[in-house]
Amino acid sequence: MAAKPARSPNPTKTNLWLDVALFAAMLLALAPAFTGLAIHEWLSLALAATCVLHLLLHWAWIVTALTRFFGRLAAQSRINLVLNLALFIDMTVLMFTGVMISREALPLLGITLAGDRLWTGLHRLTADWAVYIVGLHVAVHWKWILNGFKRYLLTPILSLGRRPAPAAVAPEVEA
Amino acid sequence: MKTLLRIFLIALAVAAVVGGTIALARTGALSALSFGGRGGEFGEFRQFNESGAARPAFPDFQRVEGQRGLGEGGFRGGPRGEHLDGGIFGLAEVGKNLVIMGVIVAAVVAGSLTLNWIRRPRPA
Repeated sequence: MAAKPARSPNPTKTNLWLDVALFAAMLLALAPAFTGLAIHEWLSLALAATCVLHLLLHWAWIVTALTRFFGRLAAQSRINLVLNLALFIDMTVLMFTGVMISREALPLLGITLAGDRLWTGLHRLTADWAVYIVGLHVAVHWKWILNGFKRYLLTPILSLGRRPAPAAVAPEVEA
Repeated sequence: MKTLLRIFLIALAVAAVVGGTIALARTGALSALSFGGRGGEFGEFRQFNESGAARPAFPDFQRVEGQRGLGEGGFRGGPRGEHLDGGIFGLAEVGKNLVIMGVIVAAVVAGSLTLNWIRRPRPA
């Protein structure tokens, strides 16, 4: 039996669904009063790993933008890079302070850190900033997001209703 | 191998940010940044830092009977190890964040569309 040729994954589609999942997880992680502290902490740790995956998937853009930052680079890409750097710093401090004040995840792993009001305050501050910066991050990419949704969500749903009718079966001819 | 190198570079960047944060925290610069101006709940902490005295220890918060475990901002509550449960009322926080992000996106999109409209090529 001949093996089926492997279909290469569509990078745009992968990026879109990963970003949608990241956004949803982020919304939940930013609302510990809804999820509870345990889910908040574990979800945030998973979010950190997914953020690394997000960076890996956009590695080519990061390298290009960083190397061309002081050279020839479109103004929008330059603004985008500064915004993304701010988001990276904010998310890193948010995750780090979260680990420092962890009351559920780390104690369960046998790690207990001395909590500090400074880390708590900083955690809140960076969480507030994360909402604004993520909002800007989404806003900068609104066209890409809109096109992605149209192409990978709206069009397939709409095409479901427009499926061609099955071919008519030829009537049996009685002998 | 290439992916491992990239992960290592990301870890290096994370370490730089964390190192910078710890260094700033040690100098006391972050206390002004995170609690400055607003005072309020952390006013007491700021006074401690401004007077040069040692930081107060992390207090053991007591859960008040009849209140939810998580207070404003969601990070206060019981001592370590206590399970702090969320609730459907916390959904308002998700809604609030969504509204903030929605307003930002709407403002940027409106600005971008206006800019494109102004810059549109006009017939001579």
